[in-house]
Amino acid sequence: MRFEAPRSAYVHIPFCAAKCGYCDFNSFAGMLHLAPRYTDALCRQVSSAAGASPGLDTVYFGGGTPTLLPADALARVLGELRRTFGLADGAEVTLEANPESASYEKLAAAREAGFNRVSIGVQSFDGGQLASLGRVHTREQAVAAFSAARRAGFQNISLDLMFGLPGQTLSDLHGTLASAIDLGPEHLSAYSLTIEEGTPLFERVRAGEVTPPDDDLAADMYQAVRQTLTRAGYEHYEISNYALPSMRCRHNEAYWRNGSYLGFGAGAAQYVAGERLTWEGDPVAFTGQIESDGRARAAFSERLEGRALLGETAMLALRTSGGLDLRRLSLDFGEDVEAVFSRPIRRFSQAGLIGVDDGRVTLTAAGQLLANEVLAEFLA
Amino acid sequence: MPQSQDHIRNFCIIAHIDHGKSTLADRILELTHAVSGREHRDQMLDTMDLERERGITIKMTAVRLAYEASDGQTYTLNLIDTPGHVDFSYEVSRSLNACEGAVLVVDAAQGVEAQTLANVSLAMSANLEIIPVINKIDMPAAEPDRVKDEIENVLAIDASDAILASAREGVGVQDVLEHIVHQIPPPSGSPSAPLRALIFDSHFDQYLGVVAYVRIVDGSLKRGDRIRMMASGKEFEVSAVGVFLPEMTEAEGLSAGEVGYVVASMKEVGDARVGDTITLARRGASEPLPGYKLAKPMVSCGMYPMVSEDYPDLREALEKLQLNDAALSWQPETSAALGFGFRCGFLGLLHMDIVQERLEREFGLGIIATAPGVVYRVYKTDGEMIEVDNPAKLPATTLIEKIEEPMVDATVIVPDEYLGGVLDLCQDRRGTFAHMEYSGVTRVIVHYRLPLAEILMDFYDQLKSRTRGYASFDYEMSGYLESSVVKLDIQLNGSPVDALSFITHRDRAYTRGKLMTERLKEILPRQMFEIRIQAAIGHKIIAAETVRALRKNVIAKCYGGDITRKRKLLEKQKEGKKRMKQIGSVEVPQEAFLSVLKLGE
Repeated sequence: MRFEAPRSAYVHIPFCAAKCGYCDFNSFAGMLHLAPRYTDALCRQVSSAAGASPGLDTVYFGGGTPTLLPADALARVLGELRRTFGLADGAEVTLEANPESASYEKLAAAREAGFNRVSIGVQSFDGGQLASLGRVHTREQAVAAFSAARRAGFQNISLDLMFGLPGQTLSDLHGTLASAIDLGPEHLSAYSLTIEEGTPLFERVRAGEVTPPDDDLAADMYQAVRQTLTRAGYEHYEISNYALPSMRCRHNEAYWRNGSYLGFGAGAAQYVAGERLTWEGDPVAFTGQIESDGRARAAFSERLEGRALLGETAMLALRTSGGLDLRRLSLDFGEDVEAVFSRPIRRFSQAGLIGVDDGRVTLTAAGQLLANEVLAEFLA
Repeated sequence: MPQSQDHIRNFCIIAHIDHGKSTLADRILELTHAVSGREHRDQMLDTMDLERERGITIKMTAVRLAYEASDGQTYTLNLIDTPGHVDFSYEVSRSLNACEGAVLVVDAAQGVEAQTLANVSLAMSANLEIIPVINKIDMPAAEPDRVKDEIENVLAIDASDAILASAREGVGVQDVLEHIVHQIPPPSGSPSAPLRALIFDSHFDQYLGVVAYVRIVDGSLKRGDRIRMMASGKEFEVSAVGVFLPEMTEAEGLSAGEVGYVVASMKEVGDARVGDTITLARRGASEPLPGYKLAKPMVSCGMYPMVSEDYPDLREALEKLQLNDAALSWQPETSAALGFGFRCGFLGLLHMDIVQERLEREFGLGIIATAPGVVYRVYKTDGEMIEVDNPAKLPATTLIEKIEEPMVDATVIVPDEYLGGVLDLCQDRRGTFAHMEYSGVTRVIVHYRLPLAEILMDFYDQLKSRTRGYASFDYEMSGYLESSVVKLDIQLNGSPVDALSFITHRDRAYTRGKLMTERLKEILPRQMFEIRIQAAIGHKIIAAETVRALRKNVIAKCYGGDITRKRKLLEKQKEGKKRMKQIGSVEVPQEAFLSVLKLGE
């Protein structure tokens, strides 16, 4: 298996105004004082990776809340990426933004610096649900952030939505979907809320203070999202992602292709030359490491090969509407992939969870809802 | 060195659980200096950790003590410990037979309880001199006068001379020893008669083999003697005899009236069965001591390793346990649902619990135990009678003439305000009222005949909850009675799950079937298809539930390219499935078996 050189880069900004009750991601509230040193550290980490990429096709600033950084800091890090690796013509450069920190001024400056896609973490257009999720923004701020992004010149805007929220009904969800469609974003991500152990939400559910929708309602919601968004002209191109024609998120597509990507920042994941690693997650420790000797430490790394790598590649590909290309994969891996996967393919096509058409395996609508059941069986 | 027989006193201590038997034994050991302060651990006689934790005595021990009495003479006292629980009543009766007297401990606040009654009746039938001790008199709730009345009225023992003691505080312990010396008769056997020694316990030692605990009734025994077990007929050469001080200490010989141990290259506990009589191979006794019987399992269950690779380890563990526990029986069996395992027979529920716990604790094995059942006697139309300990072995109904189930005589002692609850419970459990009498002013002794199977099903828990813990309970086996029982099968999508089937009384079948299906519905995880859960008697479905198909199981997002995390989540899920038992197309988590099998009614 030969590994392509990375043409994507992910930059992690771990700061948040407040930690949301459901979030178990590598993000921290009350640490913004570290931002200047952290920005310096990011730039140093980027420049020291010179030569790792022949030029970037996609860049993604995620968080945390990247828009909490001053615009010039965002511009500096992006500039460092451009200087170190070069940005391809038409590169997709995404900035994740939360409504409360996405002012017109900041967005305009970001657009000016070279960001051309913005992904706004709206989650819901229902004030009550936003509050119960522990989000710090309001419905009005979400709408304002969207129009600010448009005015700042972003022609590729994505909205993040969540469903399956505690107390949410199908009609609540339809309200949020209608509001989102009304704004006319090019791209929508709709995530089913996962209640992660260790989060305040998990504790509240356990204590019986809030009740998440049962699986049946969550499944109905998933289908409602799919139906409503596809009717509105969005293509359902990955389990949780919808886009207008030709507006798919190319950065995420690189992940699903199991392609290589660089990762920068505390807790960022990277996949280069067959090695997956996750950088030190604690922003203070991460910054300290760069400051002391210019090198971040990996908190975790692994190298997958053979069947394990094939399984992972299948797991990712099956999430997309393009599915698993058996011929292509057989070439890449130098073995008959259809034979390797014959058992799960037979089992799940009989169960109606996957379809096989012209050498491509894709999840059916029912299969998407049971994706874990299916994907797990493709793993080594 | 042989003791002068009239200076020997052999005694045991009998009591209801928690009335202070072990504490009194500890104080006696201290007073007679059998145990120095340094090596003293609380409850010295209970050697297994489990016993210490549960506060119950499982294996007996016999300790030889030297006591200088107030008459200035030194006596040899043999304290023979007895298990307190009903499951071991045969062992109790054997150890009582090794004694001439019993110290009866009654809690000054609790009074006479069901096990007190049971133990006293065993002691009386062994013709023991009984020394009543009212213990815990330092407790605020102590009512020694009331308890004296109870001892006299309920147990028909003269309590005018009862010792008032607090073993915890050391009060009255000296009195107990004096009473033992003066009230209990010395052993009466003849040192010159042919050897007769009662085996009342044994343990397995990896170097010595079986160590038999004996009471020499007649004659004497020394190293080099060739001995014969009168029930089994097996012969051995004695390699050592000795006494417990409390550690094993070799002696030149043991003679009539003495208590000690015999080592004779015996390989398995079955070579020295409790209750058997040892005599000499040449010029032996003609008549064994009375009362020998083989301990018979009354309760059985299937035991399966949680992971099938542990099967050989489980076998080895059972073999080792059996070395020390002749009452445990087992044979291999196979379950379609649980794989390879063993059908194990026990004296009772506590015995079963103890074995399960020892397997897990001492051998580190994860065990799935199927629902305990009793051993039924099935009379077939061809005239043959078979004992059925496993639902899978029940013959087809057309081949069955009749089935008998084991019965028990149960005794419950309860404050009269809770009497109604006890009678309802016994009635509900298919009991037959025998009689009832007052113990003291406000407590009632209720006697019922009940099917043993009904006691297996959380009877004790129910009793406790209906009497707020004030009832005490004991039972003894009481033969067999014809009964209308059926086999109830549980099916998942039409496939029977043999590990979940059980034999039950016809009147219980519907409620238990319904309960079982409801419980399984709660426990079974939703799967990619619908699961039908059915309870059936033969072809007739008597209860059914449905687990609807799983509709959603999908990870929404992979944050920032953290693909490893997503993959690990799925790997964990896949790993979890491997641990499930596949029954037909249905995946059943092992926890499902565990919680269903623990199901009470």
